[in-house]
Amino acid sequence: MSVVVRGAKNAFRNWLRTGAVVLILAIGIGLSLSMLVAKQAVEARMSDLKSQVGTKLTVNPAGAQGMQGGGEPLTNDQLAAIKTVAHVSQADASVNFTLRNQDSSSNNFSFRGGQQSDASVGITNLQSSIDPGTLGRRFASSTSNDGTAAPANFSLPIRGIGTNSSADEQGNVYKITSGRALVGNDTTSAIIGSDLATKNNLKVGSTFIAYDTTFTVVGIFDQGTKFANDTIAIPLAQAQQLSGQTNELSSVLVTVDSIENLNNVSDAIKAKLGNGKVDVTSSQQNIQTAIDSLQSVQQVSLIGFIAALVAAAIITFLIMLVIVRERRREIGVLKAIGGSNRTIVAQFVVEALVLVILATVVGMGITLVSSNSIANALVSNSSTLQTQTPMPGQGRAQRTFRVDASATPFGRATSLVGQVTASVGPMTLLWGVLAALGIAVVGSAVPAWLISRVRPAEVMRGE
Amino acid sequence: MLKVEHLKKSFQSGGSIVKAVNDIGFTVKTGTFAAIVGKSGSGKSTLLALLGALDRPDSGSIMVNDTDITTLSDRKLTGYRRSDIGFVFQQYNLVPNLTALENVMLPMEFAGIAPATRTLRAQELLTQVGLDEAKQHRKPSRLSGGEQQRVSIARALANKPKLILADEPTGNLDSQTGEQVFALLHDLSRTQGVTIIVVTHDLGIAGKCDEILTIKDGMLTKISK
Repeated sequence: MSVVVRGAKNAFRNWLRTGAVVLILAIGIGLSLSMLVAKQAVEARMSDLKSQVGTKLTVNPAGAQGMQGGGEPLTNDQLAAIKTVAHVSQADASVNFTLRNQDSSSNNFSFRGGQQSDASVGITNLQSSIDPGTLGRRFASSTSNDGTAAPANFSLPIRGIGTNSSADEQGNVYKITSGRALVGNDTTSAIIGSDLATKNNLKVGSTFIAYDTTFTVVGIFDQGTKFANDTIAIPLAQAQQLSGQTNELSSVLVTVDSIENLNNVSDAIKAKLGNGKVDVTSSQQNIQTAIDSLQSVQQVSLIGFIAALVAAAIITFLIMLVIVRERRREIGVLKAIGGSNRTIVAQFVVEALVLVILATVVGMGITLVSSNSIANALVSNSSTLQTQTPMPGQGRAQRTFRVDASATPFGRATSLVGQVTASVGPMTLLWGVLAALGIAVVGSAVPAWLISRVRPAEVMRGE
Repeated sequence: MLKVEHLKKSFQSGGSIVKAVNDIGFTVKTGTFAAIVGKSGSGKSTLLALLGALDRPDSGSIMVNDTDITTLSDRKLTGYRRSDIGFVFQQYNLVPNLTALENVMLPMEFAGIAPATRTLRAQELLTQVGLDEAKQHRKPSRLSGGEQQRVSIARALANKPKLILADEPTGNLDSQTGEQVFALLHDLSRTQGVTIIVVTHDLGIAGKCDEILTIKDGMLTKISK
């Protein structure tokens, strides 16, 4: 019989005690692994959220967005200034313009297409693919020069964008379904939305007229919405020139090198272009709140993991201390008949390993059952805490109140956090086994080593 | 040859120093069956522990075949206990979850003897001490006191020691079984030339030994043959 077999047999000397020890350790290890799984699940969710927020900022003239609002347009110089801001990896400018159908423009109904000046509104032979409907007619009437109702043959204006980027002004990359994207040396080339192309029987290579200029369709894109698929995109310089917006930009889409620098870059752009002159927006705020919420859960999970692991190690240590002390005489006898300290320590380490490995197996089961619930309970609890907002002017004891989560930015953050899916992967399994082995070795070797140093004469004295 | 000279061992007990072994010296020739007798607390078990290298003396020497074991390192002492000494305890001290056979195999495992060899030798030894094959596979709790002591003696003989130290080997046995165990030890000393030192307070048993060392208050008061 080897020391390994003897150690393993010793683990089952007392079935009742073995069962109790395994159960206690399994709870500790299971809780520890659940925390680890929760931490990993939260990390995965954070990474997912970070990938959602991207690293984009949109710079608009202060008070304007798209073709609505007021203020002064951005300029090419401002674009150049934005590109010099630290951590800006890319800045793509765009200019918006509106095209009226030549038949609509021939009747007396004068539609301005929002508040954009007439000079920037061009004439085209294209017809919008969107049926005006009630909303379109209401919008057209409210923005017509004299407030008259839109006629029956009224056609919605077509939204155009001048850009040198492969993405629209929202930062969504054009999904070209046919042909190609715009390239640097294009002048009278255009890419058009799929619905607009279908409505006007346009294909790659077809031509259309805008601003009295003939454009060739080089690509057709599908952005997934009817609104976006009713637009056209032409090179930026061409759009600026034809729409009378030379040196003017409607918006700039800024790509920042990392999500952590978004706020700093936003502040730097505002400072560089002048406070109050530009609006810088990103979807980061809500997601940052969600990430902050998850970060606190991540920390709680990490602390919980370490605490549960330490607790399991202490339990193992105490159990092995009791077992070792109980077998003090036996250890003395083993030494008296020639057992070395190393052999005795190894025997107890094997015994502890058997107990801890059994507990790990049971703990894995506990983890499988509980990790998802624990992760979501932690996330839910943390998100609720985040929605508790300080109320100014109230006493210290009453400084928080519950608010409708869905109606606040924090509420949106909560919904962004969503459900965290915890799963026990191979790495978790590996960590679990390694942690368990570490617990077993440390928890048993120390007391066994301490007791093995006792002189065997004490056994004789006990006789 | 076992030669003890000026052996001393003291313990601290309740603020005072107890001289458990106080300047003891004697010589025991190889193959001798010797008894150490004395009242309870006279120091005989402490002397046995020093002879078996289970404890270190404060001073003095214990020469075993020209080697002073009091000067050996802990590792060498483990080797000495493993190869040269066999212990028989009053409480038997068998490992409870091992069978009789496995208990006897244990010292051989520590000595690095191959499993097949140690199984064979353990079976031989148990047969020699009178434990039949069926009982060899029983755990100690299913053996009588006398049978457990026989297993203990077989375990002490496992690594063919030069010296067997027995502390009250018949103390927990009825007189008939005690005599049988004593006879077994006596027979071993004669047939195998093993030096045996038995601690006992039974003067009847001691009287059958080759030498009797009488100890009183930690001092050797009499050596009789």
